[in-house]
This record gives sequence, C-alpha cells and structure tokens, in this order.
Amino acid sequence: MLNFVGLFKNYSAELQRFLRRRGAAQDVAADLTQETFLRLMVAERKNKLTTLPQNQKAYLFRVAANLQIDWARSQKLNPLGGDPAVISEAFADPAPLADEILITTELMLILEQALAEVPDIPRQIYLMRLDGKTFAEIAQVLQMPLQTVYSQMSRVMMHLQYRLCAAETGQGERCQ
Amino acid sequence: MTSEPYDGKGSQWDFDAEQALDPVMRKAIEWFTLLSDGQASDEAVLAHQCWLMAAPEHAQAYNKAQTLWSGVRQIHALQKTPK
Repeated sequence: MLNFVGLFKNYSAELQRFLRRRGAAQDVAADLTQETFLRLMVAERKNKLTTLPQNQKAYLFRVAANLQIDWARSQKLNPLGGDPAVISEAFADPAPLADEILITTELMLILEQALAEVPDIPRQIYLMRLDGKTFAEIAQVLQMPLQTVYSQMSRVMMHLQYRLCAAETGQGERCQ
Repeated sequence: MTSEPYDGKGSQWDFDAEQALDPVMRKAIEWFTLLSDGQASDEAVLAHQCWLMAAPEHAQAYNKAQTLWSGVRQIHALQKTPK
C-alpha cells in the first residue's frame, strides 16, 4: 500500500503551484491535483503499482500535466465553454442541505425507539456527544479507553441508521 | 456511572451493528464518528479524503451519516436532553 497521506502532504501544494504556472485557474488546479491522487489510487488498486516509479515526484507531475492537457482539450470541445460541473449545476435542481431536513414525527418516533434499544453506556456516550462533549472528554468522564468511546459511538449510529433504513425500506438485512 | 469498560455484548443490538448494515455504511459511520468532534489528526483527515475519493458509494454513505447526525441533533434540540 502506497503512503497516500505522505504523498499528498508532500506534493499537493507543489502540484497545485505547478498547474497554476501552466495556466490553470486556482479551482481547476485544486481539482486536477485531487484527480491526480485519485488516478494514483485507482492504479494501485488495479495492482499496476506496488511502489511508485523510482522518481515519485516526476511521476506525479507527469500524471498531473496529462490531466491538464485532457482538461484543456475538453474545454475546447465543450460548446458552452465552461467547467462541466458548473454547467450541470445550472441545470440541476438545488439539492436540499442536510441541515434543512425537516424532522417528521414519524422519524422522531423511529429514532427514539431505536435509541431505547441501546444499552446504557453507549447511550450515555451518544448523549454526551449531542451535548457537544469531545471524545477525549467523554473518555475522561467515563474512565474508558478513547478507542472504546469511538467504537461505541459508531455502534449507536449504526443501530440508528439500521432502524431508519429498515423502517424506510421494510427490509431487514444489508441495509444502507 | 460505571468505570467497567463496556464490552458491547447484547443480542439485538450486537446483531444490528455487526451484521445488518452494509459494510460501506458501517465504514462511513466510523469515519464520521472519528471526525465529528473536530479533534481528529491531520493524518486522519487526509486518510478520510482518500477514502471519500476512492469510490462514489463512499461519499454517498458518508452523506447519509452526516444527514443522520444532523437529524438527531435537531431532535435533541427540540427535546432538550431526553433522560
């Protein structure tokens, strides 16, 4: 497994500057940099790469440069001339923001019932999180290892998500 | 309040968390949990970015986790700490 975190830390800023010097706008440079790392991950997943070629940096920059050429070409072919993402946004309905979701009584009941099934300790953790405590603070109060607090919080969320999904779809297993 | 580490054993509860949810959704919830209190390391944040970019289903599942959390926060705000 390549160390993506290390590579990203070491090279993302430099890659963006490189692309900007080659004429890319700030946002395009940022997108192409992300795309470069994405390509790298896909290539690794397909087992084409177990280690980066000898000169890691040159490899990254070559991928980024190729992506920029492709991008410039796609701009010329695009009759509206703009960023494809911007164009599709103009036609799409605005998606509702997560924060604007209205809680229905039904949803509230499902979640309340689901929470009632959660054992005491994980429920305490969950309620403390809702009150804005950090995981470190919760670990301190409950005298628990931090890892346990994380995993118990995750399990509460999984349980709630499962109950929600099962209520929505009427299906029991492999709920999303 | 107890100081015993909680072992997570319990029939229905155990089954739900371990078996019933799709593995990508479980992973998304684990990521969401790790990042939700704003205390995660830079490394964790970057690793999360890599995970999000690795497949479209990852981002979809992560959105669901965020939606769930904002939902329960709204409920919590409405009810003021259910006991």
